Amino acid sequence: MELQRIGFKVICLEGESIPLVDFIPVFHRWIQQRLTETLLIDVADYSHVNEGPGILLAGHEGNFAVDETGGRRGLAYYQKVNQEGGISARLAAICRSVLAACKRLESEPEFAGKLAFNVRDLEVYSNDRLLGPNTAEANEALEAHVRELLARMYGNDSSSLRRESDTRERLQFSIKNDSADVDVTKALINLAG
Amino acid sequence: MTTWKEKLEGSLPEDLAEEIDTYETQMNLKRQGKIEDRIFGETRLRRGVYGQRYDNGRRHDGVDWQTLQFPEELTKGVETVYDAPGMQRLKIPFGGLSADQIDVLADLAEEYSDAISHITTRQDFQFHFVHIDDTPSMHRRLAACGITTREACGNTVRNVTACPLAGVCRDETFDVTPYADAQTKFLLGHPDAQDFGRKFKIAFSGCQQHACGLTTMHDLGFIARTREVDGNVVRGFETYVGGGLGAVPQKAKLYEEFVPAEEILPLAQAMSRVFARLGEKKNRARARVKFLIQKLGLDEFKRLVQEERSILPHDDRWVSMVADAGDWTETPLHDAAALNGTAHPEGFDRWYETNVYKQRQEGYAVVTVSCPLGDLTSRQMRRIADLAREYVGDNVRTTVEQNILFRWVREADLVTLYQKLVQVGLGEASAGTIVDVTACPGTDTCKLGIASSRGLAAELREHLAAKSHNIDEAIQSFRIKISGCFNSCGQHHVSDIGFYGVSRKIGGTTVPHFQVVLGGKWQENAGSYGLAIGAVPSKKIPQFLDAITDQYISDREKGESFQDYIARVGKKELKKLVNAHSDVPPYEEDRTCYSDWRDPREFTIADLGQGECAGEVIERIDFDLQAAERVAFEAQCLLDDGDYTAADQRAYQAMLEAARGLVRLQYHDVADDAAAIVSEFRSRFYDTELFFDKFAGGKFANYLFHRHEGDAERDFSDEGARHLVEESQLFIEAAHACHGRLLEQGVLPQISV
Repeated sequence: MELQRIGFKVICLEGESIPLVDFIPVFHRWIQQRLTETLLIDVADYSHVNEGPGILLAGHEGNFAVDETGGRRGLAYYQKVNQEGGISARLAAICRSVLAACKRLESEPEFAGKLAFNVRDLEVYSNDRLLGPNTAEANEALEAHVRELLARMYGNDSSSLRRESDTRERLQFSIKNDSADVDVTKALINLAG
Repeated sequence: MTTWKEKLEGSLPEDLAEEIDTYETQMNLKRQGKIEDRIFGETRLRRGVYGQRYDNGRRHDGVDWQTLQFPEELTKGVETVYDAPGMQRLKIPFGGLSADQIDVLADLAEEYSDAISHITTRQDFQFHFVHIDDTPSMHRRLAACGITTREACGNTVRNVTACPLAGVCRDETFDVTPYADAQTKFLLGHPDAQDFGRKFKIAFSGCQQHACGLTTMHDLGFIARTREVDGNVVRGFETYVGGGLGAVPQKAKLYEEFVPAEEILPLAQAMSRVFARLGEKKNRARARVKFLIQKLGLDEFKRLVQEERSILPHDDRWVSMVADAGDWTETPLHDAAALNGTAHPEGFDRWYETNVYKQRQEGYAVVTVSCPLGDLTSRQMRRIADLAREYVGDNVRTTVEQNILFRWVREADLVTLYQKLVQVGLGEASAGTIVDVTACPGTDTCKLGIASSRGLAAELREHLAAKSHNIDEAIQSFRIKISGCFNSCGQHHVSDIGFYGVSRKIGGTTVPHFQVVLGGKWQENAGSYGLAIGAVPSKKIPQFLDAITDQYISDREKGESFQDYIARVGKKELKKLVNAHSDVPPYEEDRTCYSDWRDPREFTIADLGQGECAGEVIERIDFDLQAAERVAFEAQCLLDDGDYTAADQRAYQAMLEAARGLVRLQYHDVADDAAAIVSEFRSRFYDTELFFDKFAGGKFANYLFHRHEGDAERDFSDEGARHLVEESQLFIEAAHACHGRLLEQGVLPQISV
């Protein structure tokens, strides 16, 4: 599968009530201190939009966002530039990027004890309707690679994947894995291993 | 299939496909270093591919300058890094959209931008954070659904706008839509419209009295008129030329009381030829057609256009493209049905009051979908497309107030449509009210932005929405419009209360401010322009807004409009209100004012360590610039009093005061006469380019030079004085900015006596 533009979103376990604008200074600090491996450029405030990208941290390789699409707040990261390696390696790299950002955000002093991400509640999507359209074939092709990644990350094969049924929306899986004993840190370790 | 070019082959009009191929080839040549930056920059602008803030690869992060380490050193224009994200603007003539087009925009926003489609103040859409390599695919996908990006930016004929109610308005003379459409198609890519020194904006209105198409602020504006000829009613247009906002706004002048409909295309063509041939090409600041008209005089401009018209080679399209305009009509999706019987859900009545307009066609209404700051998510866009298919078909338009209109909604559907809009967060009852604040992108993404217009707009929206149920009726329909700088993209001049971003040095640190512009008129095609009365720190604008509206509510006379109130009370009194909100606490005590809305970065924090060494000089220049502002304000008051000669002279004096303040930074004992000040200012600040704005160059200095040099043949008219008053304000702002730059660089000029 040639798909490059892939996105992950990790849903919030706690932190739904934190005002979106509170994430703005934190993201600016990430830029000041160059806290990610990728090039970060700017912060965009979309808190005025209903169920939108919330607060966007725009980068060169990809964008992060405290995203509320679909009415569920989470931290999203989607890749914008091409990466080396096969689809499995690319999926894993993007997943690691979002998990690392989740971990960092949870540990920010402003959100201490108020923000947590549920790594067992994820969304993964193709952000490319040419190379990864929301068709049965593409769904099937991507699902196999996603399941492989989830097995590594959760340490089991019991993830449930729900496909996006509206074919105008992006190819997307909503993922749940209630039996996995994993948090953000452990997920990162599992994916590194 | 791995490219959109392959996938869409055969589904694009041949000419459009070829144009986009050519553009892609130019990109490849740029990558190979075979096109110089200056030329490629204009090439991409003409495809709507615009630069965005920080695309020079540098960004101040609030602590220090950062070099953005993009992987490649390639550029896509002068000082524009190839990999830096940019903006893609589309062209949506008269704001008309189909449901299928909306679906495509939703997809493009997700895949190439940030999942936000932004409606502009010219009925366009634009996307931000777009990589230039994605633009050919975007263009092809847009072309496949009938949208072009051609000439959406650059020195071209920009999107032709029109009254969004055209065709359904209760008061219009006739539907101007087909004429706006014809004008767009005729001029798009026309050889006579390719060699302008600056952009050219056209608008169509169906009536005189409403805001309609805002023709007075356009380079070329048409207002529908009919005339009886030989017993037949003939369509035509009252035609205006030379209007524009920008730094120094100018109302369009009446060109002709009646131009027959079949003459509007050749008229625009002839005017394009004259503008291309005689318009300013080197000095962008004076390159709009308004300056050409100013230079030539309206009569001479008209003579030249008429002469050009008489020698134009005949083009059948002049007539054929408008021949069937009288038959042009939209088809409603459903038969008319009145609103009756259905229970009204909570919020519906208020929404009906603000967001529903009864069409002249019985049983139908126009619904305005309020879009906060003009932003819609891709999911909202798809829902808009769905609702269009369900209720109105392809009868959707955008507005210059950054909203979306559903036209031809049968009234019986209003309740369910409202409920469905509420479900996607688009049921806000705010259209055309004080809550519906308009703003340009400002510092969020624009390279020219000084202050955060969107940040302020978001804050004011929240501030006003929180008390929307208690807002006095007298101010309910106020227009608030905000620009991030003096260039007026937020159309602040034609609002009741407008703001544009400026900055001030307080104790050596830059503080974001907004100039307050009062008394503009949105109605009557942007009937009058407000004037700036003073700057308020950005963070104090909400309190100022409350104060000015409360004062108006309590002090107005019965039935007195805000414009009349401003005129009666006078700027001297209003200035007191500005002054009451202008204090900024020292940085050490309270840092609130030292950052902008929704952006915690402190401006010029690096300056904090170096205030003392230049302390005395800073005090002196601050004093001088304050004096200049005071004199400029006096000029405004004189203008209000109708004393144009004195207003002109005070405005000139204000510029001299500011120039002298700067000169004193280098030369304490400059003589107190105009010639000496101008001479010293020219040699020390203009010739050295110290006064030059990064984007506007020496534009603002020329305001002083022109006034100084043109003293003898001065025409002390209302319009002339008004311009000079505006120019003096901008000159003072430029002096503030110049001083700020000197401080930021930490190299105040050497003082000599």
